[in-house]
Amino acid sequence: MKIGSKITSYFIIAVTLLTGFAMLSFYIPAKNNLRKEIFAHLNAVAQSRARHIETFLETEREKVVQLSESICIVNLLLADKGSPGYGGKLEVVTERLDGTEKASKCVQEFFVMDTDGRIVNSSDRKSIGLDRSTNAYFLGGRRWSYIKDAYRSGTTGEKCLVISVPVIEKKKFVGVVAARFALDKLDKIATDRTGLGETGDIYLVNKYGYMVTPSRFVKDTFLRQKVDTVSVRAYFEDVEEFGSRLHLHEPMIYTDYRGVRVLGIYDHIPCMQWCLVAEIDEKEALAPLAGIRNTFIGIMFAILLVAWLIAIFVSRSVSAPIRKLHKGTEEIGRGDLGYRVGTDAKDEIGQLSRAFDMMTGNLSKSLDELIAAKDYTDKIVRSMIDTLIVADPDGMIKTVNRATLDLLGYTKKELIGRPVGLLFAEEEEEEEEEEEMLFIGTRLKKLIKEGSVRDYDMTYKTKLGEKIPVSFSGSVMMDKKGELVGIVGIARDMREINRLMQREKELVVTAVAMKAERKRADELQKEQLAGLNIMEDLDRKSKKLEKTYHELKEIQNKLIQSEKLASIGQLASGVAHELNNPLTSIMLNVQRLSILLKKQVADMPDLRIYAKGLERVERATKRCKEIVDSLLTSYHTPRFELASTDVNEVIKETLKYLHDQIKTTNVEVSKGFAVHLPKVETDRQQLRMAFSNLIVNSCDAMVEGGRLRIKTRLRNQGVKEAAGETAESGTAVEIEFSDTGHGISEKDMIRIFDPFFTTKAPGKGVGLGLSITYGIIEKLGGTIEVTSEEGTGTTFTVLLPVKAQNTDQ
Amino acid sequence: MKKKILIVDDEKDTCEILTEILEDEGYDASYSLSGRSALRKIKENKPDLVLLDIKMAGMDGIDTLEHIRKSEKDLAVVMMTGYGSLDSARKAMQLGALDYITKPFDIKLILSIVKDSLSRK
Repeated sequence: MKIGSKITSYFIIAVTLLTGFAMLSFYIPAKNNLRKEIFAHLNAVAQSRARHIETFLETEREKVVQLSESICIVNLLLADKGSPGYGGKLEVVTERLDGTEKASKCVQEFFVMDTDGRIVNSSDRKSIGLDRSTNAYFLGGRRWSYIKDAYRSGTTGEKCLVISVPVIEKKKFVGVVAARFALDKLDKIATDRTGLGETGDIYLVNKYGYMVTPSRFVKDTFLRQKVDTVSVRAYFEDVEEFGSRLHLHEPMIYTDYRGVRVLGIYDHIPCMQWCLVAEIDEKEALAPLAGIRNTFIGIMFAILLVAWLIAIFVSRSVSAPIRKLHKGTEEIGRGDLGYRVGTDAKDEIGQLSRAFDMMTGNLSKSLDELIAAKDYTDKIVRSMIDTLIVADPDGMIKTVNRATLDLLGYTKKELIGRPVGLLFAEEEEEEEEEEEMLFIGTRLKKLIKEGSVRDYDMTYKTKLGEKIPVSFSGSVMMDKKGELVGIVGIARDMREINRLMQREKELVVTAVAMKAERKRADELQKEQLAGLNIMEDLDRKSKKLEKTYHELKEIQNKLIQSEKLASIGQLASGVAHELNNPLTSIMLNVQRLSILLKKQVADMPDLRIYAKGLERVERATKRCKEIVDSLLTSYHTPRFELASTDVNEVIKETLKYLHDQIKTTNVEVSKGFAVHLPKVETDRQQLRMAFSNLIVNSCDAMVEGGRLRIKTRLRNQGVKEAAGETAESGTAVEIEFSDTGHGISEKDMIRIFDPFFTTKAPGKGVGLGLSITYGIIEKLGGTIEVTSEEGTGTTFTVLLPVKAQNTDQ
Repeated sequence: MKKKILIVDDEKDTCEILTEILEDEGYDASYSLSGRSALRKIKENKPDLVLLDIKMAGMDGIDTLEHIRKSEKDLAVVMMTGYGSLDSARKAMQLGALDYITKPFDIKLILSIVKDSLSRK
């Protein structure tokens, strides 16, 4: 789970609990208060209605009582029907009844009954004379005032209620006065639902449990709608328990006569034994409660929403730098050490990311240093002249340097991962074989034990199968724990040195032999036995010694030649660089002086001599520039790019390139190319340069004209034969350049390959051509030989080795 | 108006003769003997062309060119180099040098390169 989500969820859970708790502690008292208030309100309405009804009934009763006490009615009831004053008395009463009825809005009829229950007079004339002796209101009204419960009139069909009051004269019952009411007014009072809202209902229920007033919801309820609800039942129990004593009623929630949940309360109207019920639908009554609940829920959600937003903000602000840091680690993991988190926050995460940035900075710096160090080491390895081989503990080649590849003719790909033994010649003798296995077996153990070996004589085997003696030094590479991680070996090509040593040995042997001969000769002389044959023998030996000496000298020369070439090359290019600056200054100054002088020469002819001098200096400077340029070109060591090359083609190309130059001389060039000459692995461009130098030299040697013959052929005896190696080294392509020029003197012969050695006229050449050619041919693995006879001509013979597989074609 | 050329080389003699030659040709030439003073002079004088020697003690021509490029993106710079330092010359071209001239050179060559470089701008 992410930190951000964790913070958010914890925060939200905490806020939910807190707000939930807070909300409940607010909501419950609020709800109770509200409920109480709603109940109180309902109670108040019910009570007010009940009292109102009671008052109404009382007022009406008072009217009837008043009427019953009026003298005219008593007089009428006491008078005989047949008496002469009766009619007048009747009239007075009629007037009285009519007046009262008119004054009273809800009374439909006032009427007077005699002791027999017969109506003697009425505001409604139709009812005069009717017998009401069995009617409840007569019977009830005989003793005390009586209210007949609501009923439907048999004559008019109206809902009505009758109040009857006895007429007493001198404690004697003389009749009954009654008033019949329409219930409209009562209905109006009773069902005034003010303050009860949309669903409020107030109705009266008589002692039989039937509804007296109309219902808001059901039609035609009068004495038809039975109300058997919790409240009415409670009312009946109440009446039994308390009678008409005052007591409190608690509102209750129950199902009303319609089957709807209501909040209701009842009250008593004792004079009628009526029950007043006030009800309101629970839904509406408690709507404020629902409102308050919804408000609270709303507030809670609002708080939660705010809390959520805050949580997200907080978690973002906390997790954003962490995410940045995370991204940083990923970037760095991917190798982008330049990546910076770059937070300026002052909190712990900010500190962490700054520390992190510092760490990556340091890392990147040390990586740079490491790369630089590795680069430096790589350069050293690359520029090593000796061969370098690194092998793993199993004797598999891990890496080799350029010199190894050049010497052995392999490509790097061919060697990596192959056994080291591949590079070494297998010897017949067991002892020697062991020597070769420096990288494995017991020798390895010895190597590890000693840490290094020095100057072991070993033999390399090139790809072509040629054997090269080397002096091998190796050492083991250990890691920190002292475990073997690899073996490094350096081997030096010992061919030249061996050759030299071989010749020296021979020379010594010959010298010793000669010494012995001389001793013997001395002895012979002493013995006066000087024999001719011995003298001859001595002479022959002496000649042999001389020849050996020459050979030795030649080899020494060659050795010196290659060393000279390298050191002089370095010196020359260094010097050339330094010469550039002063030469620039000289050149510019001389030219400027010439220009300035030329302007004045016209006026002063004497100055011409200075101008001439300056011209000479300018020419000399230009020559210096050329020398410097050619020096730099010559010793700017190029990379050799070896490719399978047809030597005949290279010669043709060279001649084509030199065509114009040769044309200016009197030299005739003839070609004798061998057909089906195998291709050689060589650098075309370098070879062309070498040939070009030889051809130009020959042409220069034939000032008077002559013939240059270029021959190619395959030589099977092996390229190294001349150098005293075994003949099995393989075949070579021989290229011969022979001219009919002035030849080389014996004195010059040993110096012709020296840099700057030239016999040409000043300005014609700086003496680098042959030295460069020598360098190129040697680097290509070939040899160059020269034979010359002064006045007759010179022959240069170049031998280039052919790869084994090429000869098969 | 005269075109302003700044020569940068740590050899005073070379600087002086180049200044004289360019002045003869009607340019407003001046010189600096180090990369650092050259940078200062470029800021002050706003030259039209800088002839910059690659091989200098201390801050060399390539360093100087890199510094120049930080503030003067379009300043014409021609490098002066020895024959063997063609690699550095090539690097200078990548850094936006207009051309290079190999030492030693003669008046004709330097004048034609100066003329070309100024017209190319």
